[in-house]
Amino acid sequence: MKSCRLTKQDILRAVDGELPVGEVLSMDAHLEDCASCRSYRDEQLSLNELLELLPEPALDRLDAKAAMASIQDSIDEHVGRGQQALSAQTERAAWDRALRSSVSKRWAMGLALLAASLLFAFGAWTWIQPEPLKSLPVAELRPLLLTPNEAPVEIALGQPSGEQTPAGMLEVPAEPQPITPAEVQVALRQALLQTFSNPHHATFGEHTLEFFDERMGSRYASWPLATMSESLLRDSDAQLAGAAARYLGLRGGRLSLASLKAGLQRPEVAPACVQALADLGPLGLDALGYALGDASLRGPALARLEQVPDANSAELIGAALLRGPRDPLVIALFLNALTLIGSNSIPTLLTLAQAESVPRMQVIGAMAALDDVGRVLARQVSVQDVAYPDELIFELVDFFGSAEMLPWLERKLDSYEQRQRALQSLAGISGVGPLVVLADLAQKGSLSEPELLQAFGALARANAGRMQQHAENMLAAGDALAASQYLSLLISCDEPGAANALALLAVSDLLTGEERQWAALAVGELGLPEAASILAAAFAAGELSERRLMAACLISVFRSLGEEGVHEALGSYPLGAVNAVFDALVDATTDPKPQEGAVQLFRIARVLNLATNGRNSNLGQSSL
Amino acid sequence: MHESPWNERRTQVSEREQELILRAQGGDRVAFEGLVQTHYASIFATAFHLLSNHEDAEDLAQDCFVRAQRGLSYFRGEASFTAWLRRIVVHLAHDRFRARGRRPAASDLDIESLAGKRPGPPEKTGARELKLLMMRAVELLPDHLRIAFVLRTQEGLSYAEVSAASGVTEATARTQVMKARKALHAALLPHLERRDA
Repeated sequence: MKSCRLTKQDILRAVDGELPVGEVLSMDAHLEDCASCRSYRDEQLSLNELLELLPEPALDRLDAKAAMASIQDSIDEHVGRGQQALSAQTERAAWDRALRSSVSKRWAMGLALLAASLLFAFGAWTWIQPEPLKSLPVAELRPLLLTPNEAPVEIALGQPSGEQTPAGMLEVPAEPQPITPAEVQVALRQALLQTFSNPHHATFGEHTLEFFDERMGSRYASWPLATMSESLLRDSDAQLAGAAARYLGLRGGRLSLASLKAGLQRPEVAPACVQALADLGPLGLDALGYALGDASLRGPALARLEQVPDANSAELIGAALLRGPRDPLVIALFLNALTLIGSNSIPTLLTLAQAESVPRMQVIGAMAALDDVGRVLARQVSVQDVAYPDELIFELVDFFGSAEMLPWLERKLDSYEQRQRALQSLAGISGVGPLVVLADLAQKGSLSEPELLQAFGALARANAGRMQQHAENMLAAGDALAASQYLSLLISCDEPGAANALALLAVSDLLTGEERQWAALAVGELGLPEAASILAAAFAAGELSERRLMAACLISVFRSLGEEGVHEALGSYPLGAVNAVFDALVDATTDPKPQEGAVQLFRIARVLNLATNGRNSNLGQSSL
Repeated sequence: MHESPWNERRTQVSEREQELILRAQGGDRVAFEGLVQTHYASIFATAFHLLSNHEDAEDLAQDCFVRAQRGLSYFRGEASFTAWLRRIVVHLAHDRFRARGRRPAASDLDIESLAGKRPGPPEKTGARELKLLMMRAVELLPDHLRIAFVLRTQEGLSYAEVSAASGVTEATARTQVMKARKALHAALLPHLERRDA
């Protein structure tokens, strides 16, 4: 098969229409297997398409009559000069003959002197006349149109074009003056200064361009004003250069980028170039990122990027931070800019958190200033093609505790290697979700009992409110089995955070009597007043009917709230009954031998029973 | 490639034209005017393709006919009158290029000051900017390459005609056009579209 070098030559011949059909086939065969040559072919075809953009002559604008007249004038002028030259030659020849025909030496001398004088005078006269046309020998002419079939064309020297029509000859009608680049430059400079020196116009975008167009006028509309403005970026007048930069920001494009980037090197023009690059939108962002590396441009560039609060701006700032100096102030400046960009900067912050050059806690602190971190973080870690170190994400989960990260943690809990770490982080997640996850894991048998208790205890320690909330949810759902299992964990974990939940379970009628007793007694073991108050309130409200449960509640109330709590619970009872119950409670709590716990409970229950019957009797008599 | 609208005239001198030439060679102004009227648009088009400017092209075309009138007596009719005129206008264009100063070598062709650094498909660069880019790129070609390239691609001449107009051999003309394409390709690469994914 042909080499790529030869194929590329064939491609050039083919796009030129010069490749024989037979060779086209071999070229195509190579192209089938060679992507590089196919690209080259496409580029050449694209070049052909670009050639179509080249302007064609406006033949309808041709004024043949005027052209003919101009040509004839030039020809006539040339003929006139030629005749003058011929006359001058003729005069010189005549004098020469006159001098040679003199008779005597004296006459000859005198005539010679006269001739010399006349020649001198004639030379002076010819010197002040326009130089006549000369025809040089062919060999001395510049490269000519020489072919075997053609004679050389005489090139006339000293024939400037555009000379004035001599008096008496036909005059060529005056043509309209063409627009010169200098004229356009002047108009452009004025329009730029008038437009962009005005602070109002400098900030109004589309209206600014309307004003500029009005100043320029339609006469120069077809001129490449953007390209001409690029050259003005180098003008010594900083105000003009800045105005040109602003114009390019509004009307320039990809082609202006290089000039605007170069303009960043001029301190007096750089701020305008930064503004212009920002105005170019996505096109200019990369260049703004470049400006971030310059200490003198960093501030304005950051300010502009902050106004484009998207992921692209954040990426540029992040990249500049990684490239830049390990200066705490600079790091803080960039991180602050990222916080101003908002949650769109989270992917960038995640990248920065992995960099050694940037303190991780500073990055996490920047993230903490953002809204909706959990949701964005969860979305980011779920993107398949973006991998973050697990340790980093665990750290973020611990820091933010966002419930949106629970699905990610669940996946880690499924992994044997990462389960312990995931269980640690689980406690940091807010809400009841972690409890549900744990329950699910327990049900699947994925956790050993010690693991389960340890994790459950951690959840209770981290957030007591969720334990109570979970109990409320369970009771509302009427799930007795789950409630029973929950109770077991609450009692086993022996955490103060479980107390309120235990109290709620104790006073509900979802569990069995015995379960409720254990719940009530567990509240007393934990000794938290708030939980005991729940029991006392339920007791006082008459929500409890089973004597053992009531006894258990009173024991816990007494342990946690003391005499005052008991009085609160027994508020509707006669004082004598209350004292009897109180004495029984004192006995029960001062002799807490496990084997007598049930006995004490029985005694309290019996006293309570008597007290309750007595209360009811009094109530019945009083009703009479 | 652009096909010249004057293809039909690029043949040997017709009888009528021969008569006009003979009369013009004898000093007949009207006959010469007839020749100008017949060929002016064609020569103007060639001049425009070479100079890319209407006013300069008119100037050059008129200059061409002035020169042609002076050298009319040397025209023998063995090549077409159009080819002979074209030869003159190419020569004059060459003089103008040289009068503007040194042209860069093909390897120096650099329009990066106009082109962006980042490549992108042509549709993302405006058509107007592309047009200016293309014009500038052709303008920056070395003179001899530019002339051959313009005559071949914009005038639509055969290599024999390019050779006759520019005074080089056909093989040289082919090489010049190829070099010009390579130079343009290198300079405009960021803006050339690739069709393969």
